[in-house]
Amino acid sequence: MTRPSSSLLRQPLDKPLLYDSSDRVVPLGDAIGAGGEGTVFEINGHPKLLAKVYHKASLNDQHDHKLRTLVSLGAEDLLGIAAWPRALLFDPRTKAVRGLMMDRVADAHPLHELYGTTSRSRTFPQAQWGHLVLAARNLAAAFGTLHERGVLVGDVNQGNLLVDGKMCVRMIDCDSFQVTHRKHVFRCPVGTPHFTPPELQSMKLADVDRTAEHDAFGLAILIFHLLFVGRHPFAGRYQGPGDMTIEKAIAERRFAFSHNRSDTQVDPPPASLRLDDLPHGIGELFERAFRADIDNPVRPKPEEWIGELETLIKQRRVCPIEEAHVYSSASLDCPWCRIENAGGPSFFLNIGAVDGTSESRLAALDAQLEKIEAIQFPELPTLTLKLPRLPMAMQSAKAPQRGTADWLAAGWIGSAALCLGGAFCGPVLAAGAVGSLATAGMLAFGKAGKQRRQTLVEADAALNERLRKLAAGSSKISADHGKRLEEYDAYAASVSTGIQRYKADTEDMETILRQLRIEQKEDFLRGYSIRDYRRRIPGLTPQMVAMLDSYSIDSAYHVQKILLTGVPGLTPAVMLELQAWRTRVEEKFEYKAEEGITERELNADKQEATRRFKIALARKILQGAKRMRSMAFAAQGQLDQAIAVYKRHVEQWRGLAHQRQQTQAARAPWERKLNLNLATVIGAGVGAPLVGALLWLIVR
Amino acid sequence: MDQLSAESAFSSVEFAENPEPRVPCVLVVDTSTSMQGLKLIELSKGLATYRDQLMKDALASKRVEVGIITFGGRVQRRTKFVTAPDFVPPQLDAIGGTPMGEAILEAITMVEERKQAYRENGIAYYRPWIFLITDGEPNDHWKPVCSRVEAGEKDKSFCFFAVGVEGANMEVLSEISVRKPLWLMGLKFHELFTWLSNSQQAVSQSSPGEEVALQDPTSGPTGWAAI
Repeated sequence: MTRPSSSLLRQPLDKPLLYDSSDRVVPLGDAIGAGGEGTVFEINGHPKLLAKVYHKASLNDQHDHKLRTLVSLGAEDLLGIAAWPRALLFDPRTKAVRGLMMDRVADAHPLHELYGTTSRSRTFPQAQWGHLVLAARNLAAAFGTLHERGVLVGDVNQGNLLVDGKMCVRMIDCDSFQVTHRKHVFRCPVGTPHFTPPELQSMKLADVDRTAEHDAFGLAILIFHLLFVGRHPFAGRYQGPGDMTIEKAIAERRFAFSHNRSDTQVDPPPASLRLDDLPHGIGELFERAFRADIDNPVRPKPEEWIGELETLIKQRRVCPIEEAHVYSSASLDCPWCRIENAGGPSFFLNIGAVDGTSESRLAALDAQLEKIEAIQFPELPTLTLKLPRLPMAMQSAKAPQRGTADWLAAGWIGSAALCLGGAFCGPVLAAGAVGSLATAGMLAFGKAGKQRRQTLVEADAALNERLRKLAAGSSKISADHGKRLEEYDAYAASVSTGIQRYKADTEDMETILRQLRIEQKEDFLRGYSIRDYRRRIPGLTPQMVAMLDSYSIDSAYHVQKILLTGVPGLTPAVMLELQAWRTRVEEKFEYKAEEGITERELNADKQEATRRFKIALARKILQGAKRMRSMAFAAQGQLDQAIAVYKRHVEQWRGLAHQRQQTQAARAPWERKLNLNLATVIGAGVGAPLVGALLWLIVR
Repeated sequence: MDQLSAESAFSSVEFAENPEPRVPCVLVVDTSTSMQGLKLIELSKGLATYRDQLMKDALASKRVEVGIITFGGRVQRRTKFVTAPDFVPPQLDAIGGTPMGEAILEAITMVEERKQAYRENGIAYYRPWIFLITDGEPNDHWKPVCSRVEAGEKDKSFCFFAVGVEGANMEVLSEISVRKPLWLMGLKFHELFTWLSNSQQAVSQSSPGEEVALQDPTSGPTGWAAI
């Protein structure tokens, strides 16, 4: 282990004289680090190489063999991902192995500099969450390469990995890795408890042959650190009694972010990403890695991580409000905004646009707020929604084809005329009567006449039915639109309150905070329905609840003396009990600094607190504006769709109506009037001779 | 009305931003009138050294947290727990008597509160350090403190170190401290704080719970203590 320790650096180090395998002197330069095992030197004339020299003048056989094996394993793929030992260093006199030479990993930093928020902004200012995912992918790839060669890291920890600006990962301290040579296992004698799998916790690691499953656990922990910006998967809020150390949590498989909370008894820490913010597949891999069966663990292999992480990289999304927020498309809203809005830290900042100070961030948000154009909620096209009317019957140009019914009707007219004329001549009257009865009868009961009447009745019935449906459709469209408008208006009102507060001066902040607190409390009280808590309020009968309900008193919020006194049937004792209940509910209320600041912070630094408040608020407003825009957009879409359907139905109706009118126009006008319905036809058929007969009687 | 605790209101940001495991250390510093002059000047310089040393180590600057309690006339929490980048050594002024007993109890309380905050925020931690620096003897009830320190050391709630500066009553210190109290040679505060920072760096690079052998402060060129 060669973790650099500054305390040892200050001690003078004598540089030993060392040879390489072909007895040439290796000129050691400055010492750049030292640890318990040895010292790392630069090599003069070879800026890309380093030499590690062990403190011990002679290594034991085991160690000697291990180093020789390591050097013999050195292949291009390993040299690409690790500072793999390239050659050995020998004591010129005893020819014993004293150290080794390896590549210097330049321009790279320990992994924690990438996942730590403060160090990231300094060391990797351009890195967003997508970069961390990429580093995790490359980390898995490095493990994959080692495992392919039968090499195990053994002591996985955040210290023996370096990551460069391109997010490529390189391993250092490779001499502690576990390697196998001709079935002989050269063990890794050390471990880091926070990265050690449950089955190895509290075991003497020098006596353990590590397996790929053990490495898989450490790999998953490292990936978790990257994806969850520094959080350890087993560090959460333990709900049970006593202290829960990480080692114990690992041994008991208490994965703090697990979905299976009843098993783990641990809540995830506040202001952190959640497992649901990641694609389901990655959540599954974490659950498998950290909740694996101890006796027969099957943890995710590097290839599985690579697959899922590459998908995540491809499906990442950029927050529309804060460009610096990159997140998985699996989550609906930006989780970083959610964390910040709840008063959490800003894990990622847009370095290009802002320098991280609250002033510059506020200025950037100001500019964005200005850009919120007036959002138009679509209007209801009332004209389009009017019900259609019957079109005028168009006279067709060519003479219509007269049918049997038309001739029969014409015959009846003739007969009727005969009847009237026959008042002076009996036989004519008789002939007219016969003619009238015959033609009317044939029209009334004959196929042709019947069909004409039926077509009209059917057409009218169909048209009326459709018209009814159209009316219903039209009013549904209006109602739906009204509901959406109402929702939109309510939302717009809250956004505009936000904008007012945003524009408020620093002096008004106290008032605003007080308002926020009151609003939050009122919402909280509204959440306690009297009906649900009836049994907790002594003396409150269901009848009283119903009575209270009818007076719109249904939650703890409404339990106010002035409101209660008006309600009949409420005894003074119950009234007091209700008020006592409200007090109990009130005591449970805990103010959450929704916009991230409290009065206390306001008192500490008014300017800064106001700016932070405004940043949170501006983000909320922008989110609100985005939501308003999408509400308007959705409303327009739904309206357009509904109107299109409505229009299609109107067109169909018009088609039918036109057809009806055309059919009617094709009938001879006299036939249309005579053959209106059965009664008319029969009435006319019988009526004409009767009138004729009456006239005959009068005249005679 | 609803109460909002300062810990839960402010610390979640700090811990979310830096979820690294913590090495908390309370410095319990004597600022009674006897410390006036060179002693306090050197001690203040030592605090700056301490900060600078911690800053040199990327991991220690994220993990080691310093809190300061002073006792001179009355017991005061001068610095809440902060990591090196946020640590501004306070201005120390000598005044009043030596309420050492109360100061130690306050340090134990401070450590317990901090541990609670760690637990609430899902932060792993190493055994806290309580580091007492004095040049006198307590002028309050210090006897009950002995059992508290002993109990704390026994169940590994914290490590208690006592450093006596010229004038300190070492007998009382060895009664209070389970570990042997250290006697500061001259005014080697610089060396003392360098040692403190190095030891904590070593601890911060181990894993919580692991025992780390500390460098012997009484020997070598960087030694600063006598027993």
